Amino acid sequence: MSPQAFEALVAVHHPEIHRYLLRISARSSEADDLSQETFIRAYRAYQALPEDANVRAWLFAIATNLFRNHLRSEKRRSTAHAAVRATQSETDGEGPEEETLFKETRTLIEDVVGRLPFKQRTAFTLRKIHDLDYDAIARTLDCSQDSARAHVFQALRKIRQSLNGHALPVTEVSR
Amino acid sequence: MSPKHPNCVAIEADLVAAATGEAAPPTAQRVQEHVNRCAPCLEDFGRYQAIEGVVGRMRTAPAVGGGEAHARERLAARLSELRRRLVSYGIFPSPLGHILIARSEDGVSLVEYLGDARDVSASRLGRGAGVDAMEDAAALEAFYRELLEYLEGRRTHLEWPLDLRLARSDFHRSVLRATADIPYGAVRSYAGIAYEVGKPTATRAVATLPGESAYCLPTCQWIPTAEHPHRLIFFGARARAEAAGLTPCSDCRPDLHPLAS
Repeated sequence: MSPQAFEALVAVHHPEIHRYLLRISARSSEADDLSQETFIRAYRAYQALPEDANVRAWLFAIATNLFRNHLRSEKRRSTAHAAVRATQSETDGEGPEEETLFKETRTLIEDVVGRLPFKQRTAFTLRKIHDLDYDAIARTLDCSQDSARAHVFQALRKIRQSLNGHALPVTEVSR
Repeated sequence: MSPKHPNCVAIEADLVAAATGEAAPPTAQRVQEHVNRCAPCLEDFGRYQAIEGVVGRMRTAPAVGGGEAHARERLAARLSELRRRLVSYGIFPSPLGHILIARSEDGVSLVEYLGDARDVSASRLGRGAGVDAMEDAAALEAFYRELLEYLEGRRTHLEWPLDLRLARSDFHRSVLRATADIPYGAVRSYAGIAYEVGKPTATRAVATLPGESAYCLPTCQWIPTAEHPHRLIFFGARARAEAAGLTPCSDCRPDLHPLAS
């Protein structure tokens, strides 16, 4: 892969990897640093990547591993989420009732996801937000596909339990 | 709150999969039949569907925080810096002992005879200031094959792109370019090359350069050891050494290395 090809790879995948890291880390500065490190590592390793490799899944795996290492070295997850949620609730403006309900539900879901154990959080985010298949998630988390499904299931179960008694917007299932 | 019926507990994972659109048709059918006759599970089914709907909208909504463009700008700067100093290398067996071949994005930057050593620590790369060395033998395999063909006399020219930044000075680079232009089997005198590179009095420096000549100051950490990595010429004064066309050893003066600037 030439430098130009790698620049094209950055242009295609950096926005999504950055969004992913922003979602699971909930802190902009961490997402910036981790997304940079993801692509620096990718640059060092892409020559050895098989031609038929799923580059997108590979980048998600690097980003997830970096985030896992980051979590191990940092013990500030809860405060980070609290800070972001507080900021978000201040900036969310009033809108149509359905839109307000969506934003409230989204905030609650993100809050629950932010407090999930690492594997449930990343499996849920990779599958439900970034639409990775279970094979890629299993490789990323170094587990079986059944375990990956179980992590997503447990995450959804906790989200549903946390939303008990909360009105939910009426929406069609998009899948 | 009464505990769930065992049938409801047993079907919960499938119910979640069906509500979020991930169940296979037979599973979805089985869940549908269950929720048709179980009001609590029907309610759960609806809430999971609603959650899936919100999550579906989250896929396209921007994440809280933003700043991706700024992060990408910083990444571009870091990648540019990394490219400038990244050198891939491979160590290969040859009739002359182990050979290290290294290349940057611009071209081959080093071919070094390591003798019996098989580790990059025995190479200039292992000590090079400002160089980020990364083993990638596969990327150097083609150069290695061509070099073997050259050593065996089956090839008379190596059409390699060259990156001479690892050379110690502009003088060294000009001598290497001049020697690279000597046709296979042709002979040039050191004095001729010195004249060609515009340093007619630097014959001695030209003669010793292919052996990585460099002068060392008395403070060089390598001097007390018996085996210096370079073929050394010792000068009492720096001015005399530089007048002879030599440059400081990169081990005792890493600050003078071209990649350190």
